[in-house]
Amino acid sequence: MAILYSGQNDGIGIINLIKKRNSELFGHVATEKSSIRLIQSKGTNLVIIRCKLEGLDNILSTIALSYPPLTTLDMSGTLKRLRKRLSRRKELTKVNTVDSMFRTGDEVSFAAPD
Amino acid sequence: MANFLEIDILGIDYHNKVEKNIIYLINRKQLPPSPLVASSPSSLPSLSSSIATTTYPYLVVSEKIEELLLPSSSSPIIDIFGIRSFRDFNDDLKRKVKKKGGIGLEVTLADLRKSDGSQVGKWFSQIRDLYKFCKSSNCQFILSSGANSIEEMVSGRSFDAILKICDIKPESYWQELGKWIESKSQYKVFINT
Repeated sequence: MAILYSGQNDGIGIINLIKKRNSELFGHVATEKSSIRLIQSKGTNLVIIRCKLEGLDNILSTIALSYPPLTTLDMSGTLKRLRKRLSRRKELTKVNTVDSMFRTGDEVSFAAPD
Repeated sequence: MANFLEIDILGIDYHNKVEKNIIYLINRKQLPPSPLVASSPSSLPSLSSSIATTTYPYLVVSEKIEELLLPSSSSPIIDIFGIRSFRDFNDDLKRKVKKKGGIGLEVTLADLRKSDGSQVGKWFSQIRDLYKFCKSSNCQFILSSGANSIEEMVSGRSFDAILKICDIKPESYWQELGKWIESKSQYKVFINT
């Protein structure tokens, strides 16, 4: 899923923030089972993460209840489709990082879901 | 941004600028149009200066308990009552809300972001109780982001996930909310050109 954030955090910081909050809300076991991983963090305020489908609802609510605030922009079963969806919608947002993140030829193929 | 997050209608504060597909949240009830205005559109320009009418749909929002406690009339003064603290939302207040009927009870996520895990857990249980109360008292439960910035906005899927945790079926919640918003905002769209 693609997540929009603000502030000083980088991709690793965002993953740690989500993991910490998820552990606080749903427990460490659930967080580990969700297998939250950073896929890509290239822009200034947009990251792509992945998680297991079983933990999706927990992660989505964790993102909505995180501070500093995070927003789920989009999600998909495969990264390829996520890229397409974000590119298709990029005119709807003024977040210029979407442009810079999804240039043709970006190395994303390693991020296919489990 | 709302399109991006797959949200159909937004409720935002009114800042003297009207945009499409937005329901404005205001603090004061607008004056209803006179029957003359409704029946005679040609007379509108001359009357528009003296009658406070709107060209946009709006809902009156308040967090002040005293406004909720005002003597009940045929139509409630406020459309949405914002619950900021469940401690204040006691039995007496619930009785008053029940009497008003049809009012929306809004809970926001913005304040919850800074709360710790135990407070969030408690909040989920309070939401379950509030939803049951809304069902039994003909009130509309409203879960809102309370966003002040783009980053604070909450996507539709995140809302669904939170609703599921609160044992609320997202499909029925959105359907009920859609119908309620339509019924509340429909009669408030007035012409003022």
